[in-house]
Amino acid sequence: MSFNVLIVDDSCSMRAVIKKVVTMSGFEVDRCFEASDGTEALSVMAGQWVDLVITDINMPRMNGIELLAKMKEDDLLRMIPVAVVSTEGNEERVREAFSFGARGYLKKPFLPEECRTVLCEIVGIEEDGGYAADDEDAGDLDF
Amino acid sequence: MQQMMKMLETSIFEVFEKMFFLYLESIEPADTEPCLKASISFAGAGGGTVDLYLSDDLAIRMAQNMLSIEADEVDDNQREDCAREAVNMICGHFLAMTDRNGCYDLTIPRCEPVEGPVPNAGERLDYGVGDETWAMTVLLSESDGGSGVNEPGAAPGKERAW
Repeated sequence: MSFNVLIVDDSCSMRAVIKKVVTMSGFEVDRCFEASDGTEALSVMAGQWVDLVITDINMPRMNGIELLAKMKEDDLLRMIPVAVVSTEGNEERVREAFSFGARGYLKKPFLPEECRTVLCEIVGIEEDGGYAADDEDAGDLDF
Repeated sequence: MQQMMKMLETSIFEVFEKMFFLYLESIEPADTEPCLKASISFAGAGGGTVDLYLSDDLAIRMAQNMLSIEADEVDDNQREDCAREAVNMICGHFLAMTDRNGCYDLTIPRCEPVEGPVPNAGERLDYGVGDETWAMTVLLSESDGGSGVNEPGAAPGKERAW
């Protein structure tokens, strides 16, 4: 299975770093979209199916928490797993992100392997590239 | 205050090692002329500003390492974007270290070319990369009427002056 990924960050350098980590993370990336704030992200999702959103919090126009809130209001968008990647590491901000539907939280600065761990947990694949669900089902197969 | 600056330094080291693969060395303040200034302000239990003054060489190396490109491929936008992201991460990481329960609002980081020496304002840290040559100055200044951030060990929500 390959994923369409949307990276939301107002820093083009950070988007490039995350994109590189994602493509090296053991799961196949079909298309990788980019947006520089929440408003742009919603526009992308209005026209393209996205399997995973990775978003910063502190952005102009529409920040990451506002983006999560908008996604939560939408029956379709609320199904998309979201990982927050932010400098803001205090517990209140993390709780706020999870309360609005984030499934993972990664604090900047991060090591590539930390990013990979969070992303793999969210989409349900093992860090070696195998699918967690596949492993569970493997014993049930009857040839 | 000394403890706060120690935490700021820890944050600086972590950000540069993890995101820019650069190992900074603390040096004595030097008379230098930076080329870029990146700033971010924070407000919460206390308020203040973190300013990075960067040498041209360090700004290029940051973009080069973060983006995995050659030095001659680095353009002005990339230098400034990497500097903004650096001050953003340094400030956010520093505030989280000082008070995990505190909630701060950060401004959108900004970056601009500068001329002339680093001003004498706020608390100052100076760094080189791999030798004693100046590469960066970091200034931490508190906003008017505010007392910056909570000292570690303070009662939750209780402000302490630096």
